[in-house]
Amino acid sequence: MADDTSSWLVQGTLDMLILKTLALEPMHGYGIATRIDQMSQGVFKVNAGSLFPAFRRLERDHLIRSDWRVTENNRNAKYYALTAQGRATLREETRAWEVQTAAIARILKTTS
Amino acid sequence: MVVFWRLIGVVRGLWRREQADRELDAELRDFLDRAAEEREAAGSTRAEAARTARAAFGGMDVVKERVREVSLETLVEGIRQDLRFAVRSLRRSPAFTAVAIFTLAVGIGANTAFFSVVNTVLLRSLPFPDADRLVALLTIGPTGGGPAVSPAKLNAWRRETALFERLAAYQFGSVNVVGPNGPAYVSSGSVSSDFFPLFGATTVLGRPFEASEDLPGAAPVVVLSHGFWQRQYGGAAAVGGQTLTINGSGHTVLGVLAPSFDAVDLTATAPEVWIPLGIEPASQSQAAYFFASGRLRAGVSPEQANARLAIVAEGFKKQFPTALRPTVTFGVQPLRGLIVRDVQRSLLVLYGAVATVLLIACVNIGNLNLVRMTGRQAEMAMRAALGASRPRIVRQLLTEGIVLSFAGGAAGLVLGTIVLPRASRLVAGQLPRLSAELTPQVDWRVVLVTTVTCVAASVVLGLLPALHAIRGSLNPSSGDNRSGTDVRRTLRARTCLVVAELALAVVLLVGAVLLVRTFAALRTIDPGFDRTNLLSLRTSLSEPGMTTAARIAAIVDSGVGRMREQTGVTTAAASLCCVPLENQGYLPFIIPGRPLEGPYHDVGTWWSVTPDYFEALGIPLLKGRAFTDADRLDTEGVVVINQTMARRFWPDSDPLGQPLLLGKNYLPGTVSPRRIVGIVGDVRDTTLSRAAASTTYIPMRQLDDEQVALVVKAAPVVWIARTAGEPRRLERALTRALEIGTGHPVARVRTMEEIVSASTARSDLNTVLMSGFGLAALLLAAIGIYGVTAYAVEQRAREFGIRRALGATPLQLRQLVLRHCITVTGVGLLLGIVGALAVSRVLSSLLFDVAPRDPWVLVSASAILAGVAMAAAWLPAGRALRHEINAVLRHE
Repeated sequence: MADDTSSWLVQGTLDMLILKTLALEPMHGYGIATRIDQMSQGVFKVNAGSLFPAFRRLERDHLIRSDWRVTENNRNAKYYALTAQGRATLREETRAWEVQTAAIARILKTTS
Repeated sequence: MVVFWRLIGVVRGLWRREQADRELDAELRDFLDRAAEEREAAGSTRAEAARTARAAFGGMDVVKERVREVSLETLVEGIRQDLRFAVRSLRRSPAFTAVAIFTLAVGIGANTAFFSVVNTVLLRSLPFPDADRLVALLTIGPTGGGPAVSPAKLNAWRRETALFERLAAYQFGSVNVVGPNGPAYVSSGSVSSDFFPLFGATTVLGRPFEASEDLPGAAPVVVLSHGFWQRQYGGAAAVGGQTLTINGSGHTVLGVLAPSFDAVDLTATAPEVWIPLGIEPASQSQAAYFFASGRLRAGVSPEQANARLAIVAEGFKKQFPTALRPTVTFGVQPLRGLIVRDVQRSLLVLYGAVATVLLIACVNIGNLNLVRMTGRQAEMAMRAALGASRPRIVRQLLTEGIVLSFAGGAAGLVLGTIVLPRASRLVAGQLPRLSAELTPQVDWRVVLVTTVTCVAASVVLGLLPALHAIRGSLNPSSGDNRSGTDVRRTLRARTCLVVAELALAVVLLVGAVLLVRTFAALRTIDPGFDRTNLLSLRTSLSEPGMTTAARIAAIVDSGVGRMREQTGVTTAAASLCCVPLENQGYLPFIIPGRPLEGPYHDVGTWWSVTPDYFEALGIPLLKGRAFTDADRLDTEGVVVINQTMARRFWPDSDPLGQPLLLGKNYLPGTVSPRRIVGIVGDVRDTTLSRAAASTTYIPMRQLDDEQVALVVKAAPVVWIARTAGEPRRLERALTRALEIGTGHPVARVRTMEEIVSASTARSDLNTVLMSGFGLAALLLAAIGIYGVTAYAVEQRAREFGIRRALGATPLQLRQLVLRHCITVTGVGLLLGIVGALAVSRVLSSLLFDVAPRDPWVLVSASAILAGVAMAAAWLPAGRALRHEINAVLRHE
């Protein structure tokens, strides 16, 4: 698991990335993983061992919901979608994240 | 019903783990497939793609395990949330919560307390080794089995070594002892040497007696109870070999029993001293004066034992043609069953009643909760909108029920432990296996049953609002503007609950009224003697030297004479053995010259008394004469019979002057026909509820030496004094007079009133408890109907306002409300009566002079309930009048 960069991802961060991905459109598990990989330009490689528990947690907290759908080539896949609560949380978290990263960036700049 | 199945579905959904596992499998496979496909599309071979995809994925099992961890965490977290939420929500309605917890505490507390009594008396195994193989040996006739055993039977059974590992005979009584602390009258056990190993009684000091010491004529020995040793000898180790005077003769102390040995399951008063019963192994005596129990060999079932004993009985009849009637046989019964057989029915009935009260209480709380739910419609709808699933909401409501009932259960357990010792003192003496010192035990069964009761209660509590939540629209808009359908549905649900409550209450009330009728009937019974101003005292003459009739007669004469001298005593008498309603002796009789099937004509109660016995007790002499001092052993044998016997055996003729042969083959010594000289009134001598059987009385003076020796060995002399005033006031004077006059200690002083009321104490206890439960049910049902009427009136406020404005009179409005209530009560009563008819038969063995389906009882129970229900509805009905049209419209 050498490329499991997600292991150092703070749990809340992975959740946020999943929510962000789903904000665009409902998506199945593999799609979400690839999308995160693409969007981070290969920085975050999310492995299944972190991804699926994260889905369960988010479902439990009513931030996402899931249903089985028939996909393009007539296969069944479980699709995840954002709930209203999930959308609100994403908005809040994004704002909080921006404030925090900006603050951290300032601190790092000042001290270096 | 539809709702019910839907609820089942919801509950099942909570635990659909298998399905979740299957889904996870499918989802992960899909993930892998897609990864592999993408790699294949990027140019890898199919096999290569699958391999790398799998490698990147990591271990399938690891992933699944992590997901399951989250599920478990989710479950735990969910339960914690539910609990937190339930507590918060209950705290928001403190009045409801307080009422609910209090009601449940009382209900569950009563159930726990009662169950621990049931557990201690009925369920707990006997504290003896291999208790499940312990059986009592019985003589079984057409009407049931009797435990009394004679030496001849014991010796016949003892030969059946293939059936029994051990067989012991025992009898409990009282003896006069003179120990280091002076004389005392203490309880005793006369037992065969097998008793100690059979019941696992070990000694802490010395040894129990052996078979060779348990023979007539062997040197007298005694084994002490631990308590007696502590009290009399201060626990001195050197007690072995000392001599203890018991009933006038020296007994060598062999040992001291372990304190852990408790005979409470066999006798209510723990024996202080244990002496050999001394049954001659070849004895053919038919006098049944002790009990026998044995341990079946491993692998021998009671049925096998019964089959074998039936054969033994046939052999016994051949050997002793006059001992058993043709229909009588021998058999065994598990010892525990025999000990509790008299109380099993009443305990279970009462436990059913107390459980029903709890059920009604739960229904009532569920009803209240329903009202609270209607107020929470908005909240539930909001939660649903925020993504809470229906199962989740149901779970939350059930959690509220659980929190309530377990809080109530905990409070109930505390309440129960406070009440239990007091309650057990109330029932001690009325129940076997419970002595005054022994509180019912709280063991795993009690804890388990309390837990199950709590869970059951919480389901009833939580289910009702949960059903409501499922059926409710859970639509935010329905929150503050509730539709008429919602109101009607709530009303209907509540009405059904009240009907159920009423029906259950009717059943309990019918039971209570039946027992109250029994209680009253027992009090109006004429026992056949005058119970007022009578004092009875006992003296044991069971000691060596008391072998001649003359000796006993001298003591009895002296005692009676001394009593008579006391100022305040109008008549004094004595009876060998008993007074009515305490104990009885039985003897079979034969009427010479009449055709006879079987060994004798009948068995009747039998009394040997002094001449003034009838006068002292106030038993009327109907015909002929009573005994006089002139009836002696050297004069003609005479007997007095009771009216029942006279009517039964001489329906068309005069029994006076007829011969009667009493106790042939049962009494030792000379048994020859006696002449009937008198007829006295019937006395209810076994229990008040049973009409007198055939009864014979003989003059005490006409027992010969052997007969007297046998009788005084088994039974005390009972002194009876009729007094001019309150009998207890003469207690000390009479005790002293008797002790001086007879040279023996006196014990067990009781007034006849006390004896009579003690004889109905168990029945009275049933009545008191059942009435209490009935009243509780009545009260709860009244609260229920009050609540639902108040709710209906409130919901129909607008309608009432309009009706008033349109000219309806207050009376008409009131009728409108009451009409609904009458329907509800009527349906409840009807269902309740059906229920009562179905179950009241279980009470029949507890009733006296009233049939379980007595129509008047049904009518009066229904009338009480209807009256209370109407009164409870009248109050809120009055509120309907206060709604003014203006106020209602303004509210709109």
